[in-house]
Amino acid sequence: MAAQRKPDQPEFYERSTLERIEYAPPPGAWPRNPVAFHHGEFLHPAKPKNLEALGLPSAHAWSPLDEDWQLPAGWQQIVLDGLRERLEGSRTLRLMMDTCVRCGACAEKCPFFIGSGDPKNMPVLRAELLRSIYRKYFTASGRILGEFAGARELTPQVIKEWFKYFFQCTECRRCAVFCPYGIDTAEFTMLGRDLLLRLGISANWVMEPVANCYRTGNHLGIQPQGIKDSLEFLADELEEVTGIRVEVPINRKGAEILFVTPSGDLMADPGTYTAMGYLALFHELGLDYTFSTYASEGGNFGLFASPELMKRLNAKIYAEAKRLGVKWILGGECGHMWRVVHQYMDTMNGPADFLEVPTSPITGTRFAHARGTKMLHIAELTADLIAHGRLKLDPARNAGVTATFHDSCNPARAMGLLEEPRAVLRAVCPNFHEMAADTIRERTLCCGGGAGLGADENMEVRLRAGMGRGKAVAQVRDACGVNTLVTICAIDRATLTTVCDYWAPGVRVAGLHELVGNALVMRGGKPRTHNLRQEPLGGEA
Amino acid sequence: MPGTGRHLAVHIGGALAAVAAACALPVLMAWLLGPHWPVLLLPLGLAPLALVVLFVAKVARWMRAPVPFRVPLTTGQQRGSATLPRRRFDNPHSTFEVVIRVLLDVFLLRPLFRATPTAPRLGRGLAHGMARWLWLFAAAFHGALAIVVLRHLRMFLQPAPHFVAWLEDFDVATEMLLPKVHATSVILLLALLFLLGRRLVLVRVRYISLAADYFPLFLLLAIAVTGIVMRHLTRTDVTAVQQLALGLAAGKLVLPARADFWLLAHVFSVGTLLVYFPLSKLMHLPGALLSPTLTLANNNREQRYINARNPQVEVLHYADYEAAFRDRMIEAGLPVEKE
Repeated sequence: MAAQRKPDQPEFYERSTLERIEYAPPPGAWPRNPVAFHHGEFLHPAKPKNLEALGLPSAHAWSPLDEDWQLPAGWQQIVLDGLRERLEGSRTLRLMMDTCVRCGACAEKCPFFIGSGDPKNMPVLRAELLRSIYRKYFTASGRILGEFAGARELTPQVIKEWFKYFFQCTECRRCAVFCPYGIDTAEFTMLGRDLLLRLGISANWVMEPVANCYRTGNHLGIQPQGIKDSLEFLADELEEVTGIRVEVPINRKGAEILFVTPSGDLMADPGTYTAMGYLALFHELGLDYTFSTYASEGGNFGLFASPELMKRLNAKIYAEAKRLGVKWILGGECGHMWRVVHQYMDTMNGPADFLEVPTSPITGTRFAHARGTKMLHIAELTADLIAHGRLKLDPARNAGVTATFHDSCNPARAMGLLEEPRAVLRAVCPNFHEMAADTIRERTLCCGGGAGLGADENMEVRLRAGMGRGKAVAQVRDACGVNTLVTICAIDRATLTTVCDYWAPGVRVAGLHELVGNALVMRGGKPRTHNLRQEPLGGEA
Repeated sequence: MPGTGRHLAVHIGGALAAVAAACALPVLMAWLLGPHWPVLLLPLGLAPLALVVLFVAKVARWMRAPVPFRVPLTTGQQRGSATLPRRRFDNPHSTFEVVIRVLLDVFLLRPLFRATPTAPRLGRGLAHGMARWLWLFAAAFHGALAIVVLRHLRMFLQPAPHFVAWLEDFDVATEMLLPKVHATSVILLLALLFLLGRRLVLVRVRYISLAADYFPLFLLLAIAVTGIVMRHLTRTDVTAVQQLALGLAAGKLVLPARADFWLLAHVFSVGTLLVYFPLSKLMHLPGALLSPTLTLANNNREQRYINARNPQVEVLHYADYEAAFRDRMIEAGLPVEKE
């Protein structure tokens, strides 16, 4: 059978091969070491139709394996003009270009370096891929002294290197935690991808969701009737388990709350079980809410392409809240969605002065910390309900679950949403064990598939980047009998399933509100015999 | 060996040659000039001016660009629910909390202190950048350098401020234990040697190192060594130097009797450092204090952050969306704006 395995399947890779990592850099100087591509480590190029759908320039067919990437005429000028524009528009970038002292404190903090040993996966060197060009064309010393000043010419080789290494970074910010200046590689990865996109160079796994989301309102390209079908299907499944038929309001004007969640929750296991948890909770609370088909995506792959694309996709959320006349917005479990909502949305598409401060209709808690953006995280809502004793829970239903919690990079390091999900998890699940201290909270490790890396064709990179997390999970599996990794991110739910199957077999991935849905005691209905996955209770292990 | 060969030779060799030139050229010039050596004070006097002008220009260049988004790095629990314990100085919300965070992160180098081995014993052979040793020696270096710089105020201010005397008392105390040795001198030298040694010994760090990383280390070593030699070994006429400096500060020229070659090497390498500082990575001093990830409050959802250059973008409006899908929405029983 081995002969039929392909590089896009985890089974293709021998564990012992992936674990044999050479951490010493190769001979020679890095600016001269050539970049090469092999199957399993690169993403498929963006299809021209997806770039054209967004009105983006230089859409063309190319392959990372080609010698000539068919860069558009004047490509160097396009890159340098783009770089100048971004530098002039961002003190953040200027500082991060000028202040790094190359102490290397970040080097072995990067999950991609930990799993690959490739020196260009050290955050400092990933940034130098761009800084070397900045020095050559934007600093006097680089212009005059060249290589001696750490500068180098912009050649097609550099473009290939950028494509390779800026798509081997999930913008997770772990490096920044250990940097004395807080230099954030995510800024460089965003810049590098933005410059590449101007040449028509991007990954299809990023640009297809962006194009879909622009047209249909969600990454998966689900049309409005499809959203309805999916939600009705989840309501059917929930009825099987609970005996209760829940209403699924869609595009309903005058609702109090607009609920926005990643579309992955509606379509793919195990996210669908989390979505069933939402539906059960909202029903039991009697929440006056609505889904939207126009703003049917919480996630925002524009973040992984350019600030303008991020803004174009994100604009729909406030526009829809205004059209529907809701009072405030509730957001589901998603990682990078919350990076955008928390750190970019109000600046880009605010002010949301037509909305009201999120207030829990059940406990009356006024969430003042969201009084500007008017958007609340569902873990904040649920944690508040639990703190007020307003949820009737039967944690024993999750007795078959022994859980650990994976902090998703964005809620952890761009928000600080660390304790709310833990408070909820402790309330709904009797068995909870933390992973090693330097792999959780602000030091959390990588799922390997965020920022548009969650495809299959780059499986080797995903397994390598997920190695640290996978081994930390295996440690608590062996020590504490953990069988479930709980997380509050749709990308995590998809990508960590692969990571756990490979590095920590026997551990599966669940959303927080899947376990809430299991434990939630609902009025009416039938006694629970099965969990939301329709497995007999206690049979999870 | 990775990171050795031509690349290392160019970057280390170039840096060493530059420092050697900075020390030796003024000495050679003074020897050639003979009694006219005070002419050299003229270019030297321009160094502090260059520092100020270039420093201000660089920071102004930074400040001209806006910070497009408020992107603080959060390393602890947010301020949300009243019942959950928040980490104020990891996830600052108010200006006061930001100030404390900056003190901890920038002045006490907290991010380097966080360096612990990555559990659970990941990849075999993954060394950890000497973990907290980097923190210890980086802190020692910056602290010792600050003390040495402040102690030099005695050269320019008469009477010297009280804290200068206080700093001297600290060193005098150690001198009683170990004659001829100042604690700060020893710490400064050891820390510099550690930082240089680490850069050379750790292959990963050597692989990323440039002349711009070796040059300041070599230059500071030259400054420290010449300073220590003058202070502890030779009989440099420090009073004459002080008279010269105080005189210059008051606009008078009080020349020492003769040119001291150690002194010339010392002050010219300091001059080189002053000019080099604003052109180099040493600008991490103001840079760290301006870092948007460390100096912004995590109050994003509470107070809107304004980006003056917020670009206009093309958006697919609801009306166009509904127009594309209206039939299917009606068929599915979904509400529409236009029947």
